Amino acid sequence: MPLAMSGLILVALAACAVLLLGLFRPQLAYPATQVFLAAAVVVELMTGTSSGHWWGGLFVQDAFAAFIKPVLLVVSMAVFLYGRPMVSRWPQGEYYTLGLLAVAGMLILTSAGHLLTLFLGLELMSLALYAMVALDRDNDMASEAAMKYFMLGGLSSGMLLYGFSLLYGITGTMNLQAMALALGGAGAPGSAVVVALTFALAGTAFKLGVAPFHMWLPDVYEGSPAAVTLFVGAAPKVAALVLLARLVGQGAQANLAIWQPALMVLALVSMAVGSFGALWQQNIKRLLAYSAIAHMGFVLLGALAGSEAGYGASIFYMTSYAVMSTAAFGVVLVVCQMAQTERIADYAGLAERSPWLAAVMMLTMFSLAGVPPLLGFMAKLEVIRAAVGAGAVRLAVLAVLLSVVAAFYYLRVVKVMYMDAPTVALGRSPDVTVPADIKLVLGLNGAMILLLGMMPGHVLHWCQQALRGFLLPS
Amino acid sequence: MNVGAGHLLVVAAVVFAIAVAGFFLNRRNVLLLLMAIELILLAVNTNLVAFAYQHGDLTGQAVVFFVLTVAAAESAIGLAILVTLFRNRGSIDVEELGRLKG
Amino acid sequence: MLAAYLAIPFFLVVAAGIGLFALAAGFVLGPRRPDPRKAAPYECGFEAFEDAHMPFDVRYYLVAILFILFDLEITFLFPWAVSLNHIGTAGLLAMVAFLLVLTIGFIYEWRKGALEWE
Repeated sequence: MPLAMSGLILVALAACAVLLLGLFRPQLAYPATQVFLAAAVVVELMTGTSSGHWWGGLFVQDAFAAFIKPVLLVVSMAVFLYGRPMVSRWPQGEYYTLGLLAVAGMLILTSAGHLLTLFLGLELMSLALYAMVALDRDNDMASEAAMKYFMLGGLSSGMLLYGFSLLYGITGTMNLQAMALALGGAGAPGSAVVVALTFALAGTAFKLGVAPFHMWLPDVYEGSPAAVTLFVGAAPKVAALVLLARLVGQGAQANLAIWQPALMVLALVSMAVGSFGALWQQNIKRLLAYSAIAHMGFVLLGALAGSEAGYGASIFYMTSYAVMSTAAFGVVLVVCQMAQTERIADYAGLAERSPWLAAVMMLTMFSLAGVPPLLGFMAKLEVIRAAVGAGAVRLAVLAVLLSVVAAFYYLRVVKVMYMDAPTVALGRSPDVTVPADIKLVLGLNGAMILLLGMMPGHVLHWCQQALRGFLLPS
Repeated sequence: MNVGAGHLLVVAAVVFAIAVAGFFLNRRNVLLLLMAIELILLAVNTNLVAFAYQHGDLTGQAVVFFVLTVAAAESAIGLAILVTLFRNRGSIDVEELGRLKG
Repeated sequence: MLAAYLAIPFFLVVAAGIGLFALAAGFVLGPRRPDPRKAAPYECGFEAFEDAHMPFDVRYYLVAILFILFDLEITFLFPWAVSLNHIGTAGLLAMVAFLLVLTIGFIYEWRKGALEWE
């Protein structure tokens, strides 16, 4: 058994333990989850460097996995912390078990060097997420959102898998490295590769929530309870990028000419749909959903370069996005608890009611808009640089223009919070005390957005290091 | 005439096409969407077995086991969501799934 | 090669033919003098008290879901049992771990009362 698997095994054990704890000692489910996740972070940091390939590539540990796994675990810890007050009204063991199973799926996906584990990790994550959306059983909207998520997710998994089966047929192998060599060789028939990659890319785009495969995303974000939206919107996005990097980046690295134009179209459509679609939204979760679509477009800007530096920029962008999205939904969740509202108009007067909460939200919104010197700006700079490096200059210019459009709706939220008179919801709501640990971590989260934006050097360096040796030497 | 991998691939492609068409054309019942998804996975399985046979490689056949199991888990979760939806709405019409506006 | 399978379509045609013949014969030869009592569904001599198209109890779904999950795990046991000689202790331990996870799921459904009908 490879040492590098310890973190994954720990998370899987945690899922089993928390399921049983939920039956017998529900109040222990949350602390146990956090303890297990913290232990897994430590274990990953200690064992992450023991790289290698096991069982014909079914399990792979490389610098990429060693960087992504702690990020996934830490983001999930923050998400569980923010979600706790809302989750305490539900069957607790189930929420944390499903969360841990999803995390285990993401870890498997991150360490996959084989189509089988890629598929299994993705499905473990997705199935847990579908169930999580429906967890609040009496919530009518949540069950509709779960149904949509499940149907479109199932369809996309099917497409992806059909693409996998064709790739297996073309190359005769499911090992990603061997596949990359076979696809680069002269023997691979061009048209079949195009068909296979089209299916695989469509499935991946679905999981990322990239337009025009984004139909599920606004509905799922709006319909799910905020604690679930928070989870769906952070770590699984990183995992979907990992899927893209492993499948297209590693498996089909020789076929850049086929998938690069497709990624360019996806990136452009996604940025446009995300930027314009959010302009008229009244619900904060729906606004953040369109924001997510736009940001996934930016992530693709880096990935379409097909170089190690390009993937590095994408990973940096995605990590930054996960930090920002967690902070934004953290605030949304607190406001949900305080005033039982998700309408943007009801955020009026938040600055007076709770200055620190409004400050974190303002930082996050500015950062999502890409205002310097915040984290979101540095991330955008990096992916645009990668896109320009790949020769997609016109696309990069369009990206900048579209981010100006997007800035408008982020600023609207800030304006409502600071300038508008409070509405009934926030004005009359009873005082809800926010637990101190949530305050602390939300503050830290906001501080990270500011500090990492001003000093991105270290994180950026880690991201570039993580991608060293990711592609086969050409 | 020998039945070879090529014929199986055609069958799989036809089944896949039927499933995807069924998924998008069906405006009636959510349960049928669930079946369409299962059908897609069956097409994939046929493909995998055909290719495994063609390449003389057992990987494809082993993967079929996993796809089957995942398909079962998927339909279990789908049915569970269907039941909660039915309890809340009293109907499983596809047309009813429009309360969250896109 | 394919000729060996010729019996199958032949069989299908014959089977369908016999079935259709029986139905058609009843339709053509049978006397038909319907009255309301005769046309009503037959329910052991009682008055019919329910529509024949009654919805299934939602609990059947639960049973079906649980059945599917535990049923399909067997697919892994068969190849494992056949190849146990080759995979040694590691294979045995892997299956023990797999079944343990399954048992945890079983404990969960039991404690949740999913196995009770009422």
